[in-house]
Amino acid sequence: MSPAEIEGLQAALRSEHVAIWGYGIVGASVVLESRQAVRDVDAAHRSRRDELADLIRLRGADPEPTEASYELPFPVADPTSALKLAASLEAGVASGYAFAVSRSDSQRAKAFSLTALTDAALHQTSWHQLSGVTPLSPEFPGR
Amino acid sequence: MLLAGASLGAVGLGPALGACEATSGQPSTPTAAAIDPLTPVLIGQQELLATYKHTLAAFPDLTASVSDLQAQTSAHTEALRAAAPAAAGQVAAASPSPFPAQSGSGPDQPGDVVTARSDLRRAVQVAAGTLRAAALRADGDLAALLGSCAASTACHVRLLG
Repeated sequence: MSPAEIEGLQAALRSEHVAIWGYGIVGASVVLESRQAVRDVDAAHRSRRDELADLIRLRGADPEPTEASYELPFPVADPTSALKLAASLEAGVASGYAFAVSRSDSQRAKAFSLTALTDAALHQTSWHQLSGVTPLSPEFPGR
Repeated sequence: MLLAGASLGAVGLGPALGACEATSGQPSTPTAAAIDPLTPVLIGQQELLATYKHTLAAFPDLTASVSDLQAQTSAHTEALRAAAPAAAGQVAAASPSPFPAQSGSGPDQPGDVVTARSDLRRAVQVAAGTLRAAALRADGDLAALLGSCAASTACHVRLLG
């Protein structure tokens, strides 16, 4: 449990905080048919955030708290921009976990981060499918 | 379709794999000095690209849904080659023609498009697992690159489902 590993996990946690905040905005702006999907992904991020906080505590550190709000990367005013934000949030989460992978020196932290990186890429692909963005899959998620 | 293990056996590299360290170019034993840990990963990627080529040559109707995945797999392979030049050199030495000329049908080519897509999906799934396993063994930026390629490839599995 090196300081570098904790630094990586904290970066991933920050990206989860941003995603959970952002999905509140996404959920308010997508079409009705997409809201359950947003709720499901939001719940997955909350669960992973809690697991991540536990991993950080197990390493003797305090998980970084969430901010009251974050800056949107672009205005979100309709379902199209909401799905674009959702994909952007997942790209951010993937970056957080890719950094965590690069800093991990324990198999547990690395495996956890690899799984979360993959899930973020899969979520991003789902949002691309809904919005018709191609290519559907990210080429180098997290990089 | 050839699997990475079969190819490694064919070039006599398989038995040394267990003794290798994760970091490219830093063998831990004299035996392991013969092989880079990324070599089997690159061989698997090349075989997957060959499977894409064979499949699309035999079933051009799949091109629209598969060409992006093929292009991304090619980009992954190039990035891994650049990150692991020692492994790339070993693969080139072991396989003078990593991308064999296309004849329109590869070995064991299925007879229908549904089976071809399913077989391709299975090959992609194997590659995703290989990349993830390599990421778990690697360190630093190389681990992140392998993890990124594994995540992208996992998306391909879903898109081929």
